[in-house]
Amino acid sequence: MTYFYLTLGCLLLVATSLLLRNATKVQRLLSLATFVLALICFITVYGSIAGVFVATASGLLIGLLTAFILGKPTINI
Amino acid sequence: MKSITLKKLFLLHSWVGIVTAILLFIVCFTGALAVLSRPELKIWANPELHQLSSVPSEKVTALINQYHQKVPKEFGENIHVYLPTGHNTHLLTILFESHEGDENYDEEAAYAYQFDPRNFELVNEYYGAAGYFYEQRKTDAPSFIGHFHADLHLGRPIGLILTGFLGLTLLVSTITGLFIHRQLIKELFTFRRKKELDVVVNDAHKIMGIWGSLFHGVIGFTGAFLGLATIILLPAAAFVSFGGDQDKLVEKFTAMPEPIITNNFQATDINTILIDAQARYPKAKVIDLTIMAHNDANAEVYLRLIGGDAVASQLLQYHGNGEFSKSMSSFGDIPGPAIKVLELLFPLHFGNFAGIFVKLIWALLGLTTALLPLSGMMMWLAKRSRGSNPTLTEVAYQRWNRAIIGSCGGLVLATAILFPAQVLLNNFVPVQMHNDYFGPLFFYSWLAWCLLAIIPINYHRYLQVTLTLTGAACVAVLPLNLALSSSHAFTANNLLVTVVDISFLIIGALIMFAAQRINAKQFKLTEHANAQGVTV
Repeated sequence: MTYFYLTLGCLLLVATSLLLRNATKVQRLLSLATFVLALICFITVYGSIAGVFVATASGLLIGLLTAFILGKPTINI
Repeated sequence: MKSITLKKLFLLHSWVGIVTAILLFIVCFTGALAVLSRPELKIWANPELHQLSSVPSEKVTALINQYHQKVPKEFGENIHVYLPTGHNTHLLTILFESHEGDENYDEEAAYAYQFDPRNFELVNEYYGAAGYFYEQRKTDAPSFIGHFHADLHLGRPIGLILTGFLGLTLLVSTITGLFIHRQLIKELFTFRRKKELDVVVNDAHKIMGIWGSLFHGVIGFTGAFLGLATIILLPAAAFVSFGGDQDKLVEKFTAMPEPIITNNFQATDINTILIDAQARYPKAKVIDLTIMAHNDANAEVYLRLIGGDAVASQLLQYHGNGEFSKSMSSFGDIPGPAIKVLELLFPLHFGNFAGIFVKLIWALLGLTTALLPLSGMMMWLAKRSRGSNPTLTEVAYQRWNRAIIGSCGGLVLATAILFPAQVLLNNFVPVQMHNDYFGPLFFYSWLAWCLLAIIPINYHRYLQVTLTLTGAACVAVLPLNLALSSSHAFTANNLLVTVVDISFLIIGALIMFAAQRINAKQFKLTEHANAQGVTV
């Protein structure tokens, strides 16, 4: 189950950064919701304190990778 | 915010970055590797640990009892047992310590016995100053890098103060960077990879800074704390509360107070204690034991555990008869939320609280922390060498670039060389002599690469050769292991060894590929410039 939750958490974080990349208000709210779901997955695996740390760090790394791979040529408005 | 304040912040950000950029890269790059050094890379580097799952507790108990009889009475008051888990020594180490020394030593003295964890044969015996034993412990490539990250091998306190202040400068750069780039959300995904190199570096610096800001801030703060706590904060606390007496402060807050010895014999039940600890925390790993007043009625046993459900490392206290007393933080049983926060600083810095997944995240984010000062420096140089009124000549620009490649690229190369060297040392050099090789190999190869920067060679070529050699060093690990070692990726029966060997191969191949790409890109740029009649 650990691997299942970790994979699900990571996929949700990818969805979070993809939604955030599009930058409309609805998508930003949706990205927040997917991040919370990912957070729950990580908390299930690692517990409350470690889960928050892992989710935050993974979110930052996946966001950064998304920015490198799918970076936009122009600044978001 | 007023534009004048922003300008001052920008100046602070630039100059703090420029002054400390190379040192920050050195500390952050080695830090990113050090995350994986214990236990993963340490297990890989020591064949004694390849097939090891756990040491039988009854064997540990028997060895402690057997060797306790061989040492003078005063050395039985403090016994340290380091289990071969990849966190401490590579051998099972039992150290009998006397704080007051003996007739030969005025300082702390120790008898140490080290056993091969595979067959429990006595490998090494030591009698002398305890401090000297710890200083002279066998090192390996990952431990060498870990120690270099901690104090740059400058010794303590100078090295710790330096790395502590570098942590502070990282914190300052992170905070000022966030104020300068206030349009955080707007710049989150701006990365124009098809533009010229200056723009790419600029965008990369911004997105690495913005996305990683929380991580960089945490690493800077915790690094500053770890570097400066024992050097500045501890004396300051002792000065305020204990009239400057640091020993008194440590004695007051120590997690392991000395028990009163009754001289009434009662066998210390280490076997039961080890079994109970594993039953209570099955996911955690016992990394060392401290036994006080062994085989006395007042004996106390402390076990240090890492991993499992706890974020920070735990200290378990048992009475000598095997009865569990309590679980506490490594600072001791001190109540209050401050101590909870304090104990979180360690796992937050080391990334060792939730297995290999978190360690990989910490290592990758750590690499971005290392790349930030480098990209910042490149931006600073580019800004001063371009435009209608450049303040940096083309020759000076080339020299700066060679200096960066020599110092930073040289460090990466020197680090990469240590790993194939580890394989060669394991197979051709007696273990006792390993310590003599890592320092000279690392520092002389780094120095040689730095000195090469003095020669006026094309810095693109210099970078390409640096990357190619680094990649070749990484690629060489697996074939060398296959050719020389009996325990390698395909025979070790240890997933960790297989993954590390193959990872070196893949990382090395990627670095060599990147080296070729840089050259090809530069060649295209030169062709384009020549077509336009411009000299690059």
